[in-house]
Amino acid sequence: MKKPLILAIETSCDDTSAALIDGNCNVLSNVISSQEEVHLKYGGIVPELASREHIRTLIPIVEMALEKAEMGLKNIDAVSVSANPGLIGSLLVGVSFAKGLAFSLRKPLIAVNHIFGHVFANFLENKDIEFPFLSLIVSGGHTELVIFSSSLEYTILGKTVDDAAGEAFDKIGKLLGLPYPGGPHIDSLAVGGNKLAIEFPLPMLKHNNFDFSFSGLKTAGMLYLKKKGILDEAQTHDFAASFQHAIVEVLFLKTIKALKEHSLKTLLLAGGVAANSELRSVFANYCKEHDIKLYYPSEKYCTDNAAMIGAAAQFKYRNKKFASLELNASSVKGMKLL
Amino acid sequence: MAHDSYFWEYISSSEKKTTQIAKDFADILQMGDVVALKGELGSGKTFFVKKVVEELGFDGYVSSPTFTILNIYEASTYLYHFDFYRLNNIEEIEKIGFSDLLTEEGIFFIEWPEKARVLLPDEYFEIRIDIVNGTHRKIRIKKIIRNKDIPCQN
Repeated sequence: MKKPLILAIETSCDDTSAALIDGNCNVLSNVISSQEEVHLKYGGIVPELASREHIRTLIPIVEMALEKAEMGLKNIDAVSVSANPGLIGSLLVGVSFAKGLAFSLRKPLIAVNHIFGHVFANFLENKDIEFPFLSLIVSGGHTELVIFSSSLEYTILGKTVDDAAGEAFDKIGKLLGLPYPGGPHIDSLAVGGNKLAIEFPLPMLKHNNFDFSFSGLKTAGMLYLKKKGILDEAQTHDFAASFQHAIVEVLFLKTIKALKEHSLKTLLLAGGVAANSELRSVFANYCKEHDIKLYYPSEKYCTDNAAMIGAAAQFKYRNKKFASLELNASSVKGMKLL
Repeated sequence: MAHDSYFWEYISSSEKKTTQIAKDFADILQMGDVVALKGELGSGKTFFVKKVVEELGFDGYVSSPTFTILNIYEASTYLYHFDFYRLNNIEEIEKIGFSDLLTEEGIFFIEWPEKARVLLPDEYFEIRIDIVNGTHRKIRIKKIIRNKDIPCQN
């Protein structure tokens, strides 16, 4: 194990997670409280249940993470925590715990932006990623295109002006009667469907910027379902394939435009929607043809987890970017690196 | 007992017209006001809030709070943008600290307020947006005033 050993904590939304990451971004342990069963029952993430769960589960999960890594608190060199953005009550549980622990261990505290955590998840499994790179972050709550010229310097090229890509998937999934989250189910339904069967609008493509918009597409999908009434099986496959294709197409075209305009040769996909099979396949084909290095995390690191927070924290540790004990959680919109 | 002190109704034929309606509405808002927005998926609730919030001086991105439940925007005052789409009942809404947050200084916007009805203050604005077709929306704005003190009947 290479020093420093960082304990990472993630409580920004539904899952409580703790991980131990070494100086080479190797994962010694990554424990996540899977609350899928609870969420399936409610047809959505249940933030309050989640928030209550964080308080109850955080300490046992940290203990499990230490145990799995065969480490004790005395081995830890820094405590890192995802501090923004997210649901304020949930974030506060992790931030308060991390502050208390860092203070009692007299070790540095490192605050990590949850969105950047998703990007740095790529470093857990790939040690050869070089800066600068472009990253496309797509999840239920985020859709962003960010250039990282180094681990600390970044430029936000564009983001969603309304709904996140994953949110469009999840809301249309609910209308189709699919369990939460809808994205992976639409992905499976799309297999065997004709992606050109329904022509959905491709939002923001005519705008000469890197912002996204998925609200209009969501509305178009909703109006289509309303007009058609109940779809038969073949129509459901076609609908899923066409709807997914519209989302993927917009993400794809905006991203390659950014790669070209900024002459970047490395692309990192991040976030839950980065697990979408059509998204991965269109990028894989393009990057192969254009000699661009493509990285995406394996599925377990695409969704929320503490290991990714630990990876981002390693870079901040190297640059001595520590947080003060006055650190506060923030749900105010923004992408500050902290 | 509840009565409507005033009531506006518009048919908007475009995003541009909806923007104007939202801006006019923003101009009457005061500190502490609560705005509840009703309407089905895709009717344009978030869009309406976005335009009101922009008029109130916030120059950043206003996006859907469905995932985060609450976005907070900093303008001349704090603007709280709630979305209860994924919450299921009063208990869950109460426990994200909704009632406590309502006592903060700011202006409050609530999408999918149906589940929070009893937690709303005695006076608030209700905006109802209905989809007429792909481009047209019917927008109704009213001020709800509830009298909790019902006179004794005996």
